[in-house]
Amino acid sequence: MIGLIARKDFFLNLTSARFILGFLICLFIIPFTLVVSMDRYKGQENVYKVLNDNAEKLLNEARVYSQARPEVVRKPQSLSVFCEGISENLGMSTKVYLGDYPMFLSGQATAKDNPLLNAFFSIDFTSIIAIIMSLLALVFSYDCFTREKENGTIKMILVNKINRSSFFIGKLLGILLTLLPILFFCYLLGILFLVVSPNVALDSNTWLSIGLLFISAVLYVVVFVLLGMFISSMSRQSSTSIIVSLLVWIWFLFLMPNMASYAAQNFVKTDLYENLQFAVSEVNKRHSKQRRDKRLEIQKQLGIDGPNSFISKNDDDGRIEFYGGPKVTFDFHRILTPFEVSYLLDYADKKWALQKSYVDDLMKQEKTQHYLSLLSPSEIFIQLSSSLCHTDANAHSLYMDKLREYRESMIQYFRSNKYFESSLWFTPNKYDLLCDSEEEYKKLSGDWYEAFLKGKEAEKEFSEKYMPKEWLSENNAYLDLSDFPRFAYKPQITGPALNYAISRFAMLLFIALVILMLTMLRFSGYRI
Amino acid sequence: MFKTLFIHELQNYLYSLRFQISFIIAILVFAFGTASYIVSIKDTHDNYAKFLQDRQKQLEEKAKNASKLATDMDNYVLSPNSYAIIDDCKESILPNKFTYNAYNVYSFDVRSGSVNPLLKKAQGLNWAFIMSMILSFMTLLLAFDAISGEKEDRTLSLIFSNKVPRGTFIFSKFLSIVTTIFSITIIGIILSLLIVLASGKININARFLFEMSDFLLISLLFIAVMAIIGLLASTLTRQSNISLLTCLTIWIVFAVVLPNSSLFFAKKIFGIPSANEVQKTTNQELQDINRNAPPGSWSANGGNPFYPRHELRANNQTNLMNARKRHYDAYYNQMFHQFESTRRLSIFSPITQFQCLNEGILGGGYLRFQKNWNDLHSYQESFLQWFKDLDAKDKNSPHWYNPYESLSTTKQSVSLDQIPQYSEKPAALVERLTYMKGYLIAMIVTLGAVFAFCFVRFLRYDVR
Repeated sequence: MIGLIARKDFFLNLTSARFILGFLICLFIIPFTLVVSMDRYKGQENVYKVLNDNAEKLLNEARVYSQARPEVVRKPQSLSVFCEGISENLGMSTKVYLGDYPMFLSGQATAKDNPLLNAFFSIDFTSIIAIIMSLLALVFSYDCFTREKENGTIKMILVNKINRSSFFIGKLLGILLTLLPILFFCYLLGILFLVVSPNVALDSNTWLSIGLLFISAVLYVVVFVLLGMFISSMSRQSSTSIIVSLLVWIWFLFLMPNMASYAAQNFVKTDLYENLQFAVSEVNKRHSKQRRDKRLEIQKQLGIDGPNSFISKNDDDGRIEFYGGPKVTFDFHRILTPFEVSYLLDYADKKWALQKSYVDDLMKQEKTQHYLSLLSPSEIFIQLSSSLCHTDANAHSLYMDKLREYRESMIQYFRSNKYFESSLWFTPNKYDLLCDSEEEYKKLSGDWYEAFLKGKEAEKEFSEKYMPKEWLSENNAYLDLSDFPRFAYKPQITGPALNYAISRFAMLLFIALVILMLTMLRFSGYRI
Repeated sequence: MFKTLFIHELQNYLYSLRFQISFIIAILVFAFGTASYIVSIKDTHDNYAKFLQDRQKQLEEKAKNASKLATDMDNYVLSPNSYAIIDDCKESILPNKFTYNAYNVYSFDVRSGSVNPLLKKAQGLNWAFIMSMILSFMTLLLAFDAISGEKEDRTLSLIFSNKVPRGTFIFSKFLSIVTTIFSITIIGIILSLLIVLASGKININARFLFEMSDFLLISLLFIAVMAIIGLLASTLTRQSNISLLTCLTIWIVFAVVLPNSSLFFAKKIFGIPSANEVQKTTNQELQDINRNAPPGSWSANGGNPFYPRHELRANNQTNLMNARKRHYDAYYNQMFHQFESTRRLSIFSPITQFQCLNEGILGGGYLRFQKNWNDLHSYQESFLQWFKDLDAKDKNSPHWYNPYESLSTTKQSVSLDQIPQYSEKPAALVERLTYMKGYLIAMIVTLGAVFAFCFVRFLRYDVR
């Protein structure tokens, strides 16, 4: 009997105008959304390739260990085609410094170079599914009891030997039979887009995520169908039921998410980023002073005005690379480096204390938004999807934790190989190749400058004749960094991500069960 | 006749369940949005004041050397707006930071931390959001069965068996829907203002009241457009559930699909070169300039401002800056064009029209950005002139202007009150009207066209 009622409802729904219109909406909007998402993903892939190639090139072209500062580029998640999460808000890369902890992914986020285009939001597949499928679920279920009552058919059905629960389940199955093929079609289309894309490799983990995404979408549709049925069981007229259903829909889909976000931003306080920057710059000033004092102390100890060299590059993160010069420059850097590295690491900790407090405040805002959003089933579904697609704040937070661990492993690598004490930290030049005294070097560099002013040929001739070829950076070999630690983290549906997804799934299930119970209870006393 | 019909319809709507629920939701959101805004307003302003204080300290430091003051890059960050309760105009996600020195305005950007990157993008619960997303939806909910519902109930044929002109009937329907929704708006805004007044945290001045009244006028127009769209959907069909689905589809297209697909079209139809490409082209020219620079153009002697090669260095740096400026100003113009063209694409959506009109009324959003960008250029020229005048008076300066370095220009210290500082001016009424003109015409044309179409449809509507 349940099957009979379900089949009847299914065929009735199939021939209804709402099915045709609903299917047409899906037919136009879903492929369009997928095209947009795929285009965005391809843009991110292209940016990733360029950034990653540059980062690899830079690292492999290091001639001294102090220049070995890897840039980590985050590979875009292929599943972001389904759910974009917060991936558009953040950059894709971060340089791993000694003097700073990685705080956020920065740099170019997407192919969106024009910051004015931020004014236009882009909507992803999951959000569209959340909007359209919930609407369709309500549109198909709002009159499941009221229509039968208005037409007088409910009396005729229930005077036969059909119990109310069979009728109820038959109705539920009839609506689900109508909606699930549409949902299946939408996800199938999404998978097709991924499969035919040459850039996407679908491994077992991705397939598992897609499977879970579909199951959670089915549960989401069930929740809204039950909600529509509940509203129908509470109403006497279809006209009342549809109005209540649509107001519930706009509340869950458009009001609750914005209210949660707005409340989180306003009620949980954070400092202005510029104020954090200012506090960090104060720490940097103290660092620079300590560094400068140490340099002066060593200069005094060696009896020099400053380290002279033929070519030199340096920055605030302790990167120093020099070629040619007097031997005393070599001595200067050998004495300075251990102090410099120790200051850098020490001040990085001090800055991180400030930065962590800022990041914690942002995370608090995010958690508040998350908890407030739990009042809306559509937000639970979106949170669940972004967790499965590794595009939520938790995935980002975990990624940044791994990056900070990677920084530690990089420092450990330098320490265990004693590179902070090695001359290869600051120059590939051997000690013997350098001038014995500062005077000798000053004369040589003065003569070279004279030749330089005469033109390229004269300069070349002079260099070849009087200077060791290793004084030019290009005549020194690149370092062998085959044993240098590389960042290799790939998000998996395991551990915290899985627990998070399971908790959100359980919440949806719980909501579905509660509404199911309430509806059945209501319907058992429904006046026909 | 019109008055009787209008009062009857208005009573019908006011006693309906849909009005009652809509009213409760809208009032709740008005109250919640205002309360949330009030809670954070003090912190927002305190944070900005602290930022200005720190900036002033940095300025004091720089003022010890006028050349450093002129060459060091400075950032101007837009202040928190005073009209965010009406509409924040998406200013937290639009470029709100400008980088400049006395020689050039270099770039604009969205300042880091402007919004929490860990939060999903969302819109603020301001009056404009409530209007554009909630009340627009509620307007359609009131209007969708205005005609088809009457036909289903068979009351339509009954009405027209009397001497009721069709024009009067549809106009009374239209006006009653607009009045019902506008009354929710007015009550919501009054409640919001009461919360604001009770908190005492926002200064309600004449300018605010003027902007608020403009907002109300535009809101009225917007409600009218949405109401007539709902009525049109109702006259297009015979069954109210079909007209409801039509209304929902229209709303989803206007509120979700059109605004959210603009980004895709922006890139496809109005594509601009990527930042990497522009940087590459610029770098090529910069390398050419450096390659062709006379020998010694990179020499420097920090202790001697009159070191002859500083003049070559200053010329080279100026050439580099001009080349970069040429490339990037052209690129920024392309960005402006891309943004404006993309916006025009979604102009068919009354919700987009409403948002753009609000920017015009409040002088916020893109209008505020453009004004600051242009004003900063004028300021930068006067700042440079001030610096050159100061430099001309210094006999210890060789007057070799270098946009990036303070090697051979005056190193005199200046007092803070002497330094010309940029202060933002709100857009003038003429600028606002010019900005609004196109969108206002679009909205009035939409209203007129849909009304005419709806009227013609209804004249032919089979009321039996």
